[in-house]
Amino acid sequence: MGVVDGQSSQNVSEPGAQADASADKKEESPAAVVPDSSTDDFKDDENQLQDQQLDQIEQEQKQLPLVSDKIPFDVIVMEYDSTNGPEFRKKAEELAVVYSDVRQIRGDGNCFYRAVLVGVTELILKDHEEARRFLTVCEGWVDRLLKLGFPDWTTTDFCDYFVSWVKSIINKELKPDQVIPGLNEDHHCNYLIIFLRLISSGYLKEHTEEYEPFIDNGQSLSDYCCSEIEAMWKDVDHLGITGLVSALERPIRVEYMDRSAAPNGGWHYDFPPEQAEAPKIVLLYRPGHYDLIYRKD
Amino acid sequence: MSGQQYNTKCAGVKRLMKEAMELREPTEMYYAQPLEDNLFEWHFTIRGTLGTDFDGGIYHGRIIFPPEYPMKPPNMIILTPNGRFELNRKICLSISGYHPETWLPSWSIRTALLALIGFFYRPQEPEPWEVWNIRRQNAKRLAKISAKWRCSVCDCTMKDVLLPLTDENKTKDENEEATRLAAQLKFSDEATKKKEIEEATASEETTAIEDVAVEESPPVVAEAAATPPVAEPNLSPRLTRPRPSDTCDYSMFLIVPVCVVALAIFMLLLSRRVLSS
Repeated sequence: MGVVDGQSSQNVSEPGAQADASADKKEESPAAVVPDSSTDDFKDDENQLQDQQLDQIEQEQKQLPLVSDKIPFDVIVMEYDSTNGPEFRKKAEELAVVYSDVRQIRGDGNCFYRAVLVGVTELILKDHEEARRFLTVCEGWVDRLLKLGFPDWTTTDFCDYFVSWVKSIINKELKPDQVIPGLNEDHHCNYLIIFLRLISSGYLKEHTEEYEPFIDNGQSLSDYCCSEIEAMWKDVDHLGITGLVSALERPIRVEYMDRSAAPNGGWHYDFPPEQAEAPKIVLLYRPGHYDLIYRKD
Repeated sequence: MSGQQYNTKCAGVKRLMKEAMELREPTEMYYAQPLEDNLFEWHFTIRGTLGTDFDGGIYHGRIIFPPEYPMKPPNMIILTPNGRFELNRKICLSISGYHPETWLPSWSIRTALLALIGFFYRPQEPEPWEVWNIRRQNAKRLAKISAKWRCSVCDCTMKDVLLPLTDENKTKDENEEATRLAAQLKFSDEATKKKEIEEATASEETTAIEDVAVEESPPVVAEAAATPPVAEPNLSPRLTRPRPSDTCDYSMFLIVPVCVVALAIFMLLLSRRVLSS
């Protein structure tokens, strides 16, 4: 009896899921009836395989949280030993002298943006004045983006979402201890990230003449921004970092665990370069991935 | 939508609801609304690209949204026979040549619809002129009868869905925007499953159109009979990718030799008469 009740209540609570499932079935059924030609079969199989692989990668990614709790930096050190990367081990140990904690970010192509988002959020949670300044910058971006010709109401939608989120932090509608855990909610966090991607692209577009020469494959800056920055799940590169940091008007430091990767050949690099004071937000770069790290007090 | 409980705090749900509000009034070129019981599936109606073979056509289809929308692109499925897209097959939208992931979250359903309108027309592909011509004729014919197509889910006939075309500049602008978007974007067939699906075996939504097609067929047959060689393949409502064997005209292999032989006999007889006299 109890089981039956349980089932029925589940059915009631998830009509959407049911509808989806039946829709899928409907799509699938004609495919079974129609014989395909063999070459197309082959191509489809190949594509299906690729889809499966992509799905698998996505599922593996999803086992990690979008943003982890603060954990001791030693975790990074322990990832390496003399067999799998003596170089990395040495660098990690050196960094462990300066940095105490790390927040690991899910590697889904948004890690840079997400790390910066968490970094900025922590800053505005701590410092009310900073929060107000940050809000003004964000509010200013709506008009700047529309002026650049970004599609009107979707852009406004993303900007409004971000601005009202910052406001709710400032006026404590959101409890401070819930803000960071809230960033682990896919939809919410990704919506905020789209805003960061848009303003990053917006800043570069505002300075087209300055930045266009850096794009090497002959793409125009606006094509580059469309395909590399505004598109979700695309890894950031140097231009994207410059764009976001300038758009937010908040400096960041990136510690490179691979010495050769730092643009100046050193351990770390500040965006924008040559800051008078060490930036408060520090990211750790390992090939293809960014995490957020914290200095020792 | 009323029976369903969606988490309205979820940004994607909010966005879809906003888009539904934004698109609630039909325009001259497009109209799209969610199904009553599922916010993540919509039905849309669009006009064929003005000034092309699809001008005059009104086409209906489904939009399926992934739970991650707008981070991931919607899939579109065309239901009205059109001579351009295969029926009941997902087409997804992306920037030309890249993964579907290169869909931009700042695009909207409106963008997708306009791009689809613009994407109906495509320049002539490298194929025999005759095949191309059949394709065009077929598209034109299907465009003509599409107004009578009926969607059983929405309970509406195509000709009643959109606002009647006027000379308004807005529509022209949208048509131009559609063409421009189509040049910028790419619709790719969803990598997997369904190939050419025969009209007869398609899901029940399409059965409704069969009646219309039958109703309409007599004048078409007459028209087609006047141009004998292309008549048969032209009748098939599914003609998105004709196979060479469907369209190649083998009758010439018979007619030409027969004519040659007949002519030779005639000449022979003629020459005998001339010579004997």
